[in-house]
Amino acid sequence: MQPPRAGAGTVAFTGILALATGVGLTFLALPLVALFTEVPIGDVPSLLGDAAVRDAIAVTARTNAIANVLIVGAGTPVAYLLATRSFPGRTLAITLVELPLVLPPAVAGIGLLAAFGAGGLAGAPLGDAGIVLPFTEWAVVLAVTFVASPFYVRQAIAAFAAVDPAYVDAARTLGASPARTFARISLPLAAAGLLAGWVLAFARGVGEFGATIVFAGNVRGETQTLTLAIYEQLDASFDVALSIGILLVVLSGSVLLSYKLLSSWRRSSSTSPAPFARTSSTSA
Amino acid sequence: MALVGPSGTGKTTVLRAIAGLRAPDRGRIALGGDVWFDASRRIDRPPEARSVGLVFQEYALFPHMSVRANVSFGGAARVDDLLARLGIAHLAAERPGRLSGGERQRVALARALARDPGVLLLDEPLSALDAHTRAGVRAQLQDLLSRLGLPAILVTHDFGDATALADRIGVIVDGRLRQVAPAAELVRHPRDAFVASFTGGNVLAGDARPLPAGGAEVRLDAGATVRSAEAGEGRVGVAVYPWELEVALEPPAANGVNAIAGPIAALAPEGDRVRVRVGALVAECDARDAKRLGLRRGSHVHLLFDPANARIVHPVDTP
Repeated sequence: MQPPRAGAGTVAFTGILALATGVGLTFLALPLVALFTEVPIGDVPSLLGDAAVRDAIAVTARTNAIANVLIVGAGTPVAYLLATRSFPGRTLAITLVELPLVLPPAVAGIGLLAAFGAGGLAGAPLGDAGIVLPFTEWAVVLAVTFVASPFYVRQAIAAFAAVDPAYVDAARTLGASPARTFARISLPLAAAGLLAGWVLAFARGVGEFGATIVFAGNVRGETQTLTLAIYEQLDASFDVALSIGILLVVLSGSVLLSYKLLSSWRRSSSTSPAPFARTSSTSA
Repeated sequence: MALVGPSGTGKTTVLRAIAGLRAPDRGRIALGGDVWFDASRRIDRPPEARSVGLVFQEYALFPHMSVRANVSFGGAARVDDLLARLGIAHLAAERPGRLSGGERQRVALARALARDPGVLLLDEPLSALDAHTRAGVRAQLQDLLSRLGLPAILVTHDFGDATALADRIGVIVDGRLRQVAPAAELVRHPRDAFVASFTGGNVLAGDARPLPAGGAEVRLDAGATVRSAEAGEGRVGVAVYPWELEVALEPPAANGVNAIAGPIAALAPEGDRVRVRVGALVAECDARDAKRLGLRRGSHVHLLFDPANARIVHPVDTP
């Protein structure tokens, strides 16, 4: 009697796992399927030709391009420092870098407004210099940078920390300065991890909504990104909103897919690790 | 020059300090008249400003670069010459991940030499290798080091590697240099019990009392009493090497020869030699002699040695 009962238990347990997985995957896939079925797919190109959508694409492309340059440009040295040096306050600095991950986007937006708005901490001196940021395209850039940066920096810290210190030491004893060691050794060896972090930050940046609408507003052609356009088109044209959704799904999906293809190609052709699947689950 | 000692006693730290990867608390590091570090004068040159070539224990070859790129990282001028001299020219386009242990070591050596260093540092150069490739690589390294004519400091935990690769050997324990001497001198006059046992000697603890005629008599903890030609008093160690012990079936005829008797606990053949263990004492004898004497486990034997070979050393309490 014992073995059959144990077998039945195993089958029941596997059944529960399979059921839960089935329900979960259906729930995740349903909205994606609905996006593509609710609007005739042939109409999507013409719906995306709408002037408001074209403006939103332009704003999103411009602001995210600048924000990604800022994130990678400033985030890389920050991550390298935090990963390779120990100093008092390092833990605090890392916590600060990670804070936007858990901060509600609307709070990020109101914080940015308080800091850079008229009479704000940084806004007052900037205003005196004739620079006004809130409700401009630059406000979108700042909102995206603030909210998306930890996705890159966290991953970059892990990638730099994973580089064997012996390689860095070896480069130094071979006559390389710290800067040359960074460029020739640390950066190439961490590249796969940096790319994974950038993919996450890019996806988060394109999807930015809460901080942007609070800090930058929803002005067509100026601060209205694709996600804000979806929100506005809900009232004007549901089909246009759906089309934008399809555009963003295709964009995010192809970025993720091309990264995965790239990393599996790298894994097979070189010895450096490509840690997307392993690290994305811990950082997202 | 080799630094030998057990793991975790600071041998690698010495190399890292010389290379500039770690600043010592005090002291001075100089190559010829070129001062690299001087704590009292606050001189601490960065690694790239020191003329060193360091071969890391696991070689630390850059995994994202070809063999050629690894070697030319240190200096591009002599790359082809070095690849040819170390017999790795045919591997120039390979990535380090595809090389064997011996090949990796040669790449690491070529890379360290590419900078034309004033001193070569080798951290456990043979420990990352399999036992069966080790002897061959050791011989190659021996030839290379003698051809280079470059000052070299190597760190190892294996006394055999040290004697094969270095003229002078420093024994380091717990961060302190116990003795620096050529290998033969370390064996002839080990300064303390640790050096004696590390170089392969037996060390027997006991209490010594000076003899009026010179030398000393030592009552060993194990029971027997032996004589040494060297002076000593109080707690001492008596060091004697396996090849100085004679295995005999009868007690010594002449008075004045030391003898320790007991049953053979273990017999281990090593080539044409046999290592015979009696109690804590290991003797080494010719395999033919062992056969002639009919030695086997449990045979009652006498291990004989001359008082001149019974060196008095400072005792070290080994746990």
